[in-house]
Order: sequence, then C-alpha cells, then structure tokens
Amino acid sequence: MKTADAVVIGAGVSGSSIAFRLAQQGLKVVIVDKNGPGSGASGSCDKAIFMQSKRPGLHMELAMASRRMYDTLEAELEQSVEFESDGGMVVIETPRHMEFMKDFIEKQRKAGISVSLIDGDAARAAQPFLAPHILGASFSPDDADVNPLALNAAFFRAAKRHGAVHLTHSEVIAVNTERGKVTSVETTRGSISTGLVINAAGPYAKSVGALSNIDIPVQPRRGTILISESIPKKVTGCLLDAQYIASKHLRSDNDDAPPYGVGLSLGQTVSGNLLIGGSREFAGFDKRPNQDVIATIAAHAARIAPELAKTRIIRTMTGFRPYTGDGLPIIDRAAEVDGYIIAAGHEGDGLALAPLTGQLVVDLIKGSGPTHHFLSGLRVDRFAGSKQDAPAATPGTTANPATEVHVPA
Amino acid sequence: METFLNPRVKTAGSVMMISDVVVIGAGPAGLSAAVTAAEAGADVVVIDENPRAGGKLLGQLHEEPGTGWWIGAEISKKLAERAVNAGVRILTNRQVWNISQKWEVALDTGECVKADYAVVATGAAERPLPVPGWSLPGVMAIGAAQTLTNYYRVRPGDRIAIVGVDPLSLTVAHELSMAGADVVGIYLPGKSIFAGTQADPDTNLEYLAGMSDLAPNAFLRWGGKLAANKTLRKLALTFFPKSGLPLMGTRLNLRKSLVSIGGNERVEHVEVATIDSQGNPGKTRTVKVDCVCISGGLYPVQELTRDCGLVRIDQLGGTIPLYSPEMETTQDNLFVAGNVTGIEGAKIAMAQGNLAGTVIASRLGLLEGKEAIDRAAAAVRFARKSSAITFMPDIEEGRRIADDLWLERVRENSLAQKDESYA
Amino acid sequence: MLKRISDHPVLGPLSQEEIEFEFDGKSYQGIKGDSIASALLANGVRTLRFSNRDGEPRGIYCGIGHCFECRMTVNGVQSVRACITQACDGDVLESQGENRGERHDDF
Repeated sequence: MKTADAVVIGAGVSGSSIAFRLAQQGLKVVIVDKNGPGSGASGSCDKAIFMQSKRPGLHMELAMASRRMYDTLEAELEQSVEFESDGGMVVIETPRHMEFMKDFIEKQRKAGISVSLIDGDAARAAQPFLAPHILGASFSPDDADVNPLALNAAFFRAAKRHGAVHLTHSEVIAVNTERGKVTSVETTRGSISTGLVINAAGPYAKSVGALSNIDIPVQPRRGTILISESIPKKVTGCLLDAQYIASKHLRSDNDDAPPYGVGLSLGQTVSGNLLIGGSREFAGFDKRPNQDVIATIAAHAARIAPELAKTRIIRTMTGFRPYTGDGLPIIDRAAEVDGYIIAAGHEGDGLALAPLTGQLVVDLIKGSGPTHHFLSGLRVDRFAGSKQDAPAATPGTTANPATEVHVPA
Repeated sequence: METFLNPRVKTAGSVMMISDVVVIGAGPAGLSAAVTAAEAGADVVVIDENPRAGGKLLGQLHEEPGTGWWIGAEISKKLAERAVNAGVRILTNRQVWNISQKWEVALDTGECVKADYAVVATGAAERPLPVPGWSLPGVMAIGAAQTLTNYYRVRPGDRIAIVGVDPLSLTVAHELSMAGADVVGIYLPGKSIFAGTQADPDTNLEYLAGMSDLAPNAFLRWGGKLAANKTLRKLALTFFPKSGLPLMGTRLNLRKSLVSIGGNERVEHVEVATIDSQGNPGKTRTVKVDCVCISGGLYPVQELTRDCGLVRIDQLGGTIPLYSPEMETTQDNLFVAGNVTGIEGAKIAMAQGNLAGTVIASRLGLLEGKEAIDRAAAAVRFARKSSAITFMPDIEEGRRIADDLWLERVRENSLAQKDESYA
Repeated sequence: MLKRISDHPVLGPLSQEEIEFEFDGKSYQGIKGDSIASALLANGVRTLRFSNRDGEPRGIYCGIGHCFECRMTVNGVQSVRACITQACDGDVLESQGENRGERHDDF
C-alpha cells in the first residue's frame, strides 16, 4: 500500500493549490481525482478574478489576500498562468441598476477596493463593443484575469515538483478510520495509508463526505458558458453586468431578469476566444446541454455587446459550482472524524481564492499562520441547525436563492 | 452568436417539425435508412450540413469488378430522388446544434425536428497528419481533393504529391491522374508522433496486403498480391526500388518520405527523403509541386453519440458507439449506421442504413414479421464479404469485438435486473 | 478557367450554367452547383483567409466542414465554411484576417 502524510481528494484549482502548499511544507502528498486535473468546475469556468463584486467583510478580505498572492504566483509556480491585471468592469443597463451601483461602489471603496463609476461614453471608449444603451460602468484596476486551465496545471505541476504524487482516474470509494481517526483512503485504483485527508472535491464534496458520514452542505450549481471562435483582440480585462450584483438587492427588479439565472460575464483568452457566461441554476448533476439556456445567454450577451451577434459560438461548457449558500467556502476540520479536513464550497470564487486556499489549509493544520484569522469565519458549523438544501430546480425561472453576491466562476 | 447565422437558409425562427424518424447525415447510410423507412410508410426528415445529399459518396469514382464504374455522384442523386419520391424531407444546409432525448434535434436555423426514432449517420472524417508547411494553401486532405476532382470537376493542382499510403490515397491518385493531373509520387509521411506506424515501410506493405483481390484499380490489386505473405513482404521491401514503383502514371514510393512542404503564399515544392526499411531518413531532394494531398486515414465522427457507450476499437478506425445487431445504440430508439460505426465502404454503409430503416419501420408497425430484418442483416454481411475495398484490414475482427461488447452489455443488464428483482 | 476539368474520360463533359460572384472586390465566374471553395479554386484562388495570429494565408484543407480553415464572410455573415456552402449568383464574399505575415521559404 502507498503511504502519504496527506491525501488531497480533488485535483481542481483548490485541491491542486492545497497539494502544492502542503508539499511545499515538506509533507508527502498524494492527489487523487476521479478524472484528472481541472476536469470539473475548474475546467469549465471563465477567467475572471473579480474584486469589485465581492461583499465587504470577510468575503472581500479573503479575495484581497488571495489577489495579493497572485502578484507573485507565476514566479512561485515557475510557470505562466496568463495572469493579466487589466482591470474589470461591471456594466450598467438601467437607471435602477445605476442607483444601486452608486451605493455599492461607495461601500466597496470604503472596504479598500479601488473602484470608480464611469459614464456610458467612457465605458464605450474603454470597451468599444458596448451597446449605446449602456448607461455607465464601474471600473476597478484591481480586477484581473487568469487562464484557469494553466493555473490548475501550474499548481498541479508545482505540487509534483515538491514531491506530490498524483493518482488520477481514481475515484475515492472509502475513507477508512480506526477509533475515529483517518487511517487510509481507498480508491478504485488502490489504497493509500494516511492520517490526513483533505476533501477538496468541489461540488462532489458532499458525496465524498457522505462516505465517512460527514455532512458537508455543498450543492452543485450548474453554469453554462459559451466559447466563441478566435477573433482579434476585442475585450480588455473582464466584464460583468450589474444584473449579477443587483439581483440580490433589487428583488422587485427580477421581473426583467433573464431566466436560468443568466447574467453576462465576458472575457477573451490569449488565443482570442471569447468566454461568454453564464447561467446559474440548480439542476443536480445533469450535464446535458439545454438549447434554451444557450440561446438565453447568447441573446443577453448580444444585447449588451451587439457585435457579438456576428461571432460564431464554437462550443459550450457546463460545470457545477460548489454552492454553500452564503458565498463563502468551508475550510475546516470535520468534527465527526479526526484527520479529516473539508476545503470546498468556493462556488464562483475558486479562481479568485485559489492561491489563498492552499495557505488556509496549511494554517488550519499548523494552527497558526498568515491566514489563520480567516478560518473562524469558514467553519462548517456555521450551517448547523439550518439544514441547507438547494432550492428545487425551476426550469425557465431565475433560481436566485443567493444571499450573497456571486461571481460567475 | 445571434441564434441563427445561416447564409443559405432563411427561417422564421423557431420552427418545430414532427416526424416518425429523424436522420442526421445524408450520406449513403443516412439516405438508405431514410429510403427504407419512408418506402415502408414512415414520415422521415433527413438533415445534412452540406448543400446537397450524398455525403462522401458524391466524390467517389472507381471501377467495380464486373459491374463497371461506380460514379458516386450519380448513385447519390438516384438515392436522394428515391427518398424524395418516398416523401422524405431532405433538409440540407443545416447544422445540428444539439440532439436531446426522445428525440429532438435542434438546428442552426432555429428549426427543431422532433421524432420517435433517430438515426445518427454522421460518417467519418480524416485524421490530420501534420507535416511542416501543411498550413500553406494547396495542401489538403485526400478526401477534399477527391470531391473537388470528381464532383466539382476542379483539379486541385497540376503537379501533385500524395502523403500516406492507404486504399483511399491510392484510389484518389488514380482519379487525379484520370482528371489530367500529374501525380508526381505517393510518399510515406515523415516519422513523427502523429504518423506513428504510417511512416513505417513494413507496416505499409502489411496494410497493402490487407486489400482485396477484388480491388477496383491496379494499385490495390498489385498491393494485395505483392504483400500477401510476410516473406514476400520482406523481400519486396528490400528490393523495393528507391525511385519507387511506376504505376498508372505515378510512382508509389515506399522508400521515400515527404518531410516538409514549402512555398511563398502557396505550395511550391516538397522535400522528399530517401528512407531505410525502418523509415529513417537519408538523402533529401526537392520536388516541384503545386498541391499536396495528405491521407492520414479515416475515423468515425462521434459528436452526437457521446451518451451511447463509446468504445475505442482500433480495428474499426477509432471510437464507436456500442450498437445492437439491429443498429440500435444504448439509447432506446437511437440508431446508428455507416462509418459512424466503423470505417468501411459505401455499399456496406448503405446496407447498414437499410437495416436501421427496416428495424425502425418494423417497430413503427409498418413491416410484419422478422424476415425483412433478417434479410437486411444478411445483406450487411454479404456487402462486407463482397466489398471491393477494405479500408481497415482487420474489419471482421473489429466487428466481432463490437458484437461481443454488445452481448456483454446485454448480459450485464439482465444480471442487474435479476439483482433488482431479489431486492 | 484555370483548373476546371472540362472533359473527363468517365464523367463526360461539364455543365455550362454559369454564375457570377465577387470575392474581395474582384468578380469571378463559377458553375452552378459549385461550392464557394471549388468555384474559387477553379479560378486559381487558393488563399481564402489569413490566420489570426500571424496573418498567414490559409486555403481549403478538409473539404468536409470539419477544420474551418476555409471560413470566410458570405454576404455579411462571418465565418461561413466555403467548402460546404454552395456558391450562388451574386454572392459577395470576403476573406477574413489580414495578410501581414512575413513569409520565408523554409528550405
């Protein structure tokens, strides 16, 4: 049997970041994934690292701490992850949204984010494809972009350089314990003897937890993103529409909101393809494409950026974001089993928080460290008593249970 | 990204069409399935992204032993006419966006076809075989050259080099010569991770040995005879002339590989290396050409069958969906026919389409008894046995593997049902 | 026409019904039933677009709509595959991308 100091379940950006940090600490790490690195949510998301959409407070503090880590991440990982700090924009379509955004920006500023409101002409000067009816936008130079696949691969490789071993295409079938303590992880391709397991299985954290009778309140939230043909450089930085942010605070406004939780997120990859998001629905783990969702995303995007109507969509991707209900991940020890750590539930913040996630787990294990003060807000027992269930799927209507401002992953 | 971007079809937006059967792909398999089902009385819609029905059949042109010229364009036309006469609606110029269960096929025109039965007959595509310089205009897949020459009647070049030795490339070489092109040579690809054993002279001779005596042209007949046994193959390779073997106006070079393509703005010349019997390059020489045709072999196209229990069977040319002896996939009422099930000739594809169409007609209650299905299944086996061109040398073995996998699945399902009945 | 196979030993003579269309501002003739790609090739036009990254010329590759190398703008609709789109009388066709690559003869 293989032995390891720690077994990380899940080779997405979070799991790979955790494996990297633990291996860097000198631990003998095995990363297990039922498929391969980035095969889940981390491989079916857009590329934005939004700061200005985060809620002031812990959510914002986590994002800012992680964003600072991004500045030196490529050097640390010894690889380009196509990180660009070109800033980000939230475009505003209606006077009501404008009013709301003014207030929101004020709060963001107080929280220490550099963000300003620009008028429609200034927004169009910065992003010439925006429609004439766009009233304005908030712009933050702190927002950034990253290539999620490159980021995932870079963490994964860096972990391996520090001695981590991978076991891909291996599904965890049991986490064995003795007297309440983790002793080994059993996979479809063999067992690993270990005293420490980190469940970083994202939307699958719940079912992995269930193997050990640990209740992890994470639900899959389905999101679809369209990918266009490669076109000459058109989009600078990343872009959202205020719909995403306002929908929480302006419930009465939701009558105008597109179905399937659709709001625009837009970015362009280094190779020229546009990533056009996105939807947010509760529909279990059903990955089959829905042409209504695709058409709704397309129509919404083309309203804000009319030129997109001419651009060919070559592919769509659908992923499942790990949803906790309060917009924050769970980074905590499981009370039920000694040696079992939960690190999941980032929903749309997997990329934004990726550099930090590994450090949070290291600090959790050590009981101290630069990010340790965040952990009290990320405990799993914050959900105790309020049995969290995803709202039922309601096809064609806005599934909007969010109590939080979410960024499309 | 506007929902509908199709320069050749104007529709009013969302149009729903209802039929008994929807067939995706108007090649030999799809058309045959449509004809059989429609002639039995079914309402059938066929969808194809090309401007006209026929698929890869359109470009085919070779001499069949005993029956004369096989002119794909004429056969396609007749088959399409027969379909239309039977009431089949053939919708060309349409791309399938999505297929969802029981069965809805969404098109890029905004139209949607709803049917109880679906037949996926998406055929095959060519494996790319990258060669330095292959992005230059004038370099094309062998199949593109075939359709341009025999269907559109446009010569893809005046002096043409062919890369890759297989039944398709040898057939097209002949067709290009007939159309007045100077085929300067047929070469092996240079050694690369993409070429694999295709760059290996011995493998190529072995491949040629798999071709039939019934082969429709001298290249193939010669290949079949020369390479029939291993000793002869070794001898053949040792004595294979470095200058190639002259055949019907061109040269087959099993001792030369095409290592790069050059030119300013378009193909102007190729670099050809003499190789040893292991495929290692020696001296090189420049040959002036204006067109290069690359033949990397065919693979079944599975864009619409991903939920059908895909398996990779190299003997069939790649990944295929599991299918029943009646051509049904693991998804109820979703059928497959033609090259999507493995690489074979048009006649076999037509027989498979006919079988799928017969089964569907029978399920719809339009045909009585099992005789028609048995006859159609026998016709597939006969077509395979009497085929003039064998694209995959171990096709029979490949089909056996596919049949066994299906049986295994049926057994597992019946065991699972038993388990449930105990519970 | 440059590369048209007007007489074929098996297929016989060619249809004569002509169409006229425009590509990058120049007028060309084709035969009814031509694909855009075949009509242009018959006129000796091999370059159908220029690549995004380096502005290199690109022509027909797969001929079955898979590789998208032959995409062009047809009557204002972007990225249409020339190999599987019928050429029609009066079509206005435009290449996509910019010819800006510095090309060297690799030999």
